[in-house]
Formats: sequence, structure tokens, C-alpha cells
Amino acid sequence: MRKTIFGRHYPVWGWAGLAAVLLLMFLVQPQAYRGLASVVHAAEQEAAEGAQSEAQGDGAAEESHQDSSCITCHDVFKETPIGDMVEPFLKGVHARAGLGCESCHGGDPSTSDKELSMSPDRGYKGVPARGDMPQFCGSCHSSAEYMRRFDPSLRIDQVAEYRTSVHGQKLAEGDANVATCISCHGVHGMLPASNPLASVHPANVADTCATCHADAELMAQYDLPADQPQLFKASVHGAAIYERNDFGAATCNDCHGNHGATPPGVESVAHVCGNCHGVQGELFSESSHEDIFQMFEMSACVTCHSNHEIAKPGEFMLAGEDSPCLQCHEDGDVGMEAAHAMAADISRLAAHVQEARDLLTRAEQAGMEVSSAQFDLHSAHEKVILARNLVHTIVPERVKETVAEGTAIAQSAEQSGNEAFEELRYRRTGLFVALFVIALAIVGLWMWIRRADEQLEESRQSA
Amino acid sequence: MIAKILTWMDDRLDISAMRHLAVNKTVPVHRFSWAYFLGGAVLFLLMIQLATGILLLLYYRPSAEEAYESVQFIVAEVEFGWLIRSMHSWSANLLVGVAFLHLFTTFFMKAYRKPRELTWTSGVLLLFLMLGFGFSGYLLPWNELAYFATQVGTDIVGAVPLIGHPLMVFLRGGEQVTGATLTRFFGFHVAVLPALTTVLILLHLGLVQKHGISVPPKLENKAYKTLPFLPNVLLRDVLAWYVLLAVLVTLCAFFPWELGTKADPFVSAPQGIRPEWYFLFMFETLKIIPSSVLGMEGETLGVLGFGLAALALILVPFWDYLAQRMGRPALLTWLGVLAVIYMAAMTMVGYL
Repeated sequence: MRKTIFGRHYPVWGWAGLAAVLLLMFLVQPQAYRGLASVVHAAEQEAAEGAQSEAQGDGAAEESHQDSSCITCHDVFKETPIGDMVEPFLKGVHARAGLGCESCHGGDPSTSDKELSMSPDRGYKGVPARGDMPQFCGSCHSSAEYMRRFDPSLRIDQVAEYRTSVHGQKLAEGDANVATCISCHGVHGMLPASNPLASVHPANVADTCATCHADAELMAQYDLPADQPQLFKASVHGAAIYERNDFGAATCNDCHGNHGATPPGVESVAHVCGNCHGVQGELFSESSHEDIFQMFEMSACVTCHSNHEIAKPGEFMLAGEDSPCLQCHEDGDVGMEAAHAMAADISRLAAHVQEARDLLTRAEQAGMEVSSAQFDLHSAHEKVILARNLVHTIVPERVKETVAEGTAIAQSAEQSGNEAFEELRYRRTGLFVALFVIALAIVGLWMWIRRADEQLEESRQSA
Repeated sequence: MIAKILTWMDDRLDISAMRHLAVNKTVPVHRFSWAYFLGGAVLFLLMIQLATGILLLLYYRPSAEEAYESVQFIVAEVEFGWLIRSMHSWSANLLVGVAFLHLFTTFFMKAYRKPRELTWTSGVLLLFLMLGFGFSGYLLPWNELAYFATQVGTDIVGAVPLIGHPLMVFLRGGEQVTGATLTRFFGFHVAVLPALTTVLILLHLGLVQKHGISVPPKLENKAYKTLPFLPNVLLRDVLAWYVLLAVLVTLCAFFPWELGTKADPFVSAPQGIRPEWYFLFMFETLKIIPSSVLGMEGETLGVLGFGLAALALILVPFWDYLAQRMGRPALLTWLGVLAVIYMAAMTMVGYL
């Protein structure tokens, strides 16, 4: 006799059966279930793996150089100056492109006979002299036919540019202290500029230049200050690179050129800065300052913003005690009046926008829906930026016009914020009215319950 | 006139039988009588969900392009839209909380014993439906947190052995969480789940009326006081509902439910994505299970564990029967205490 579901036998067999089915499911389950961790951490892992493979190289370079007698012998002395170049070389861009030691130094890596492999008969060139470095590297890097085999988009004018640079000219004069190719790119372990480990990656350029340009003793010989790299790092450009990892920001080579490194002259500064700051450059060229600066041979941007230590600009530059305007103007003259007027207008708008933003943030934190007003406020902030740019025209009316447009937007946002708080007050008042009504109902119910309970008690007693 | 109408109705609907049932219904009075209000509270919150849900339907648009904007419109432009939306969200959370309390008190008062096994089973199934409402409704505003929580949630469904992947594709309407998922969840939320809930609620309430209110085992064979349902208990029920309503509107006025930012499938998952609090203990459990246990995917193990736990919960009356037969009636109670402590602890871990 079989019992019901709560009976004696059914559950035992039923559950044993279920357990068997589940066990079977484990054994035949598909293997590739996506784990929870993989969903959350997939991106992180991917990034980590990418960085690792970038840093390690793919190992192919090492394998392809195993039968080079140069590598085999020099690697034996890897802790000494005659062997420590092997590892960097194998990780560098040349080895990974399939080039060997002989590609630069000549010689014959196929024989293990030391004399033979490094004999001039077999094309051995040895270590080039410092002064010969540009030609040495240029023998390949200046050849379009040769370079396009590896990367058709690579430039081949580095040596020509270098010869026009201060470094190149001094080298031609016989100064062996100046930078040559290997000073910036390294000797054996050259890496492409896109590699974060490369000495010429935007994050490392200032440090690479600093190896010479921060050396006070060396710079004194050329009558150059040695604090430029340090000033640059503290500048608005340095902050972008080192604090925000914005590698699009300008570093040394973006203004000075890389192979043709030279200080930009007075005439070229506006163009150099204008490569990134085009709008400002254009507005400046429309202004009456343009001709006056040229007349006095003043550098367009540098006169007000300086060069290496460029700080984040602001209204303080127009109206502050250390205003660069005071280099030419005097307090109270027409120019300074205009500067003060522009600074006051822009500061007022910026403060207005900030107030409106704070108000909307408070409304948002109080749970009000103000996203539409917040979106509109972005265009008021854009007006602040535009007004700051218009300072370069030195026409206060143009600044005033833009400030007025921004003010109208900020006012409208402010009104939305105030309306949100009004609505909030209305809601709170409504809540208290509702709570009062609910409380009355509760009190009424409470009294009703007491009466009903009393009646019940009475009826029970009489019963 | 009213008497006439009532007689007319009575002739056709047999109201007097129901009235007879209501008049004669009594509720036991003891230390834990407060627990009897919890079922009524769930019902009240469910009615609020129904009313506010219908109102939200007037403006809500179930597509990836319009869902977020339509909720934003409800909150910002529609008169009292903010209140209706906040009530729907807050009441949903209170409902799940009170439903869990209802479950625990029923469990510890052993109210599932004969003849109320099916009342228990239908109640547990209703709780699962409420969780289904919560999961499907969470995605509907199509905001960032909901989007990624749904992605993780449906990923977990994918870990179910054999049927996991097809089930996940069915839920998502494809391999990824997209607008198709939103439309589908909307369908579940406003049609499938309400239909199932209606049937189960009728069964659950019918069974409660049929079997009457249970008393804790300790009182079973003793004399205890009772209160008539009409009007004494009903009035207390209504009073409790008013208190709940006051709590609900206060929460809505001071802490309106956030909308967040619109979901963007192409950005990476934001920091701190987590499911709603009532799924948190499961989420945390899945996180601490090692990725591989005895050659099995840790997540599969976790999902299976929860599946078995859900089944075990449905079968509680049966386990109680077994424990009694083994002469260990307290065993199940202790297991329940452990389960509650575990759920509370893991939920807290999720918030730390």
C-alpha cells in the first residue's frame, strides 16, 4: 500500500530519485557558464592582460635571435657593460622588427668565432662615435625604401630636422655634449613613442629632456636655466599629463619640435600655441594687440601666459595685483579699465552659474527632478568659457554680450531651482495635512475599537 | 431600499453564507497576535501596488528609447506623478519586507501544520511571485543601476544547469539585455505575474477563510481568548493600514525614489552595482562561493543551492512532519533560526 505524499515510502524514493537526477545534471552540464566574477571583472582582467603582454613583449624576438652568436656571447656577460644591452635590445622595437645586432654594427652573427664575427672583412663597424650618431641611425631611418618595409607611415626626415635643431647645429660645431638620437631614444632598447615605457612617450618626455636640461652645471655652459622641466611639470600642461593622464596635452616636443628641437621664436609662438589653442589665437589676431605686440617684438602668447610655467588662466590675470597687463598698462588707464570691466563681467557670470548649479544640486539631493534645468545650465557654463576666450579680442562689449546671454540662461536655471524648492515645500505641507487627516482617522478608529471591545465585553458578561 | 438590493443580491450570490462566515470568524488573542496583521498588511500594500501601477501605466512607455524619459516625465511633469511613482517603489519594498515577516512568523508559529499545508505552499509561491515583480519592475525605468543589476541577475539565471542558457535567452529576448528585455519584463510585470498572483491570492485567502486562524502549538490544547473578526479585528486591521499609509507617504515625501541616469549599454558597469536588498543575501553568497567546487562551477552550485532551498521552503510542512516523526520537532525551528541569521548577516555584508 503506497502512502500519501506525507507517507512513509514515497518521500524516500522520490527524494533519492531527485538527488540522482541532480547528480546527473552536474555531470553533463555545459562547462562554459559565465561566472558572476567574470561579468564584474572581465574588463579589468582584459586591461591587465593587455598591459602585461605589452610589457613582456611576445617572446618572438627572443626566439628569432637564438642563433645569433652576438647574443649568445654577450648574454654570458649580462651583468657587465659588454652584456647588459642584450635584454633591452631583445625587448626593443628593432629586435621585434626582426633586426639583429649586425643590422647596425655589422659583422657576422652566423659564426661563433669571435675574431671572425667581429672582423672588418665581414663588415663589422663597431661602436659609432657620438658625433656620427645621426648618420649612423639615418643610414636606415632616412631611407624611404628601407623604412616603408616596416611602416610606410614612418617619417624619414628626422636626421634632416635634427641638423636644423640647436642640438644638431652644436654637434656640427663639434660639441659632443649635446643630445643625439640615443640621448632621447636610448641606446639598445628603443621603444615606440606609443609604448608607456618608452623614454619618448608623452608621460616621459619631460623627464627625458630633464636628464640634460635639469643639469644646472651642464646648462650653465649654454647660459640656459635648469628649472624649465620643473616649471613645466607644475604648469597647467604638466598637471594635465601627470595628474589627469591626458597625454594629448602639450609636453616639451609639442612646442619645441622633437628632432628639430629649437625654442620657438617671437613670430612663431602664436602659431605654435595656436596648433592647440586655435580659437584664442584667432581672436588675438583680430585684436588691436596683434600689431602692437609685433611692433614691440613681444611674443604673442608668452608675454601674458609665460612659457614653461603656464598657469591655469583666470580673471585674476585681468584684474589681479600681478596682472600681466600691468607690464604695459597702468592702473586707471583705458586698457586696465577695460581689463577690470571684462574680469568683473566674467566673474559675475561664473559666480551666477555656480550659484544656479549649487541650487539645482540641492534640489536634486532633496529628491526633485531638475535634470532638464541642469542640462540647460551647461550652455551657461559654455558662455563663461566663450567669454574668457573673448578676452583675447580686448573688446569689453563683446565679452559683455556673451555674459548677458549666459546670465539669462543661469537665471532661467535658477528659477527652475526655486520652483523645485517651492514644489518641495508644497509637498511637505501636503504631507503634514495628509498625516493630520490620517492621525484623525487613527484616533477615530482607536475610539471605535475601544467602544467595540467594551460592547463585546458587556455582551460576553451578560451572556 | 438597501435591504431590497441586498436581498436581490443574496438570492443570486448567496451573500448570507459569506456574511455568516464573516460574522462567525474569530481571531485568537495571545502574545503574538500582532503577527496576524501582517497578512492583511501585505494585502493592503498589494492593493496600493495595483492602484499606483495602473496609474503609472497611463504614462509609462515600455521601450529602451522611451522608458527612462517617460518615467522622468511622470516624475517631473505629471501632477502628483512623483508621489505615485515613489509610492509604487516604496510600497514594493515595504511589501517584500512585510511578506518576509509574514513568512517568518507563520513559520515560527508553525501555522503551516495540517490542514494548512496548501495555505503555506500558496503563500511561499506568492512570495516568489512578489520577488518576480520586484526583479522585473526594477528594470522598467531603464536606468543604469537597474540595467546592470538585470544583466548580472539574468547571468545568474544562465548558471542553472541544462536549462540555464535557454532560460536566460528567453528572459532577455536575446543574448544581451536590450530593449527586447525591457518589453518582455514589462509583459511579465503587468500581465503574467498579476494573473498568476490573482489566482494564488484567491486560493490563499480562500484557504485562510476555510481553515480559520491558527494558534501557536503551545496554545493549541489550552483555552485562549478570541476576538470576533467583525468589527473588532477588522478595525484593528484598518488602523494598521492607516499607520502603514502614514509611513509610506512620509517616505515618499522625504525620500522620493531616485531615477538615476539613463542606461547606456555601451558604457562599462558603474561601481557598486548591486541588486535590490531582498536579493542581496543571494548575491553575496554567490560572490563568496569559490569559482570552482569539486570540479563544478561555483555559481552553478550556488544557484542550485538556492533552487533547492526554495523547494525546501515550499515543502516546509513536509519537513515538519518528518521532524515530528523523528521525535525532533525543534530541529526545523532551529534550521529556520539559522536561515534567518544567515540571510540577515549576508544582507548586512552586502551593505558594508
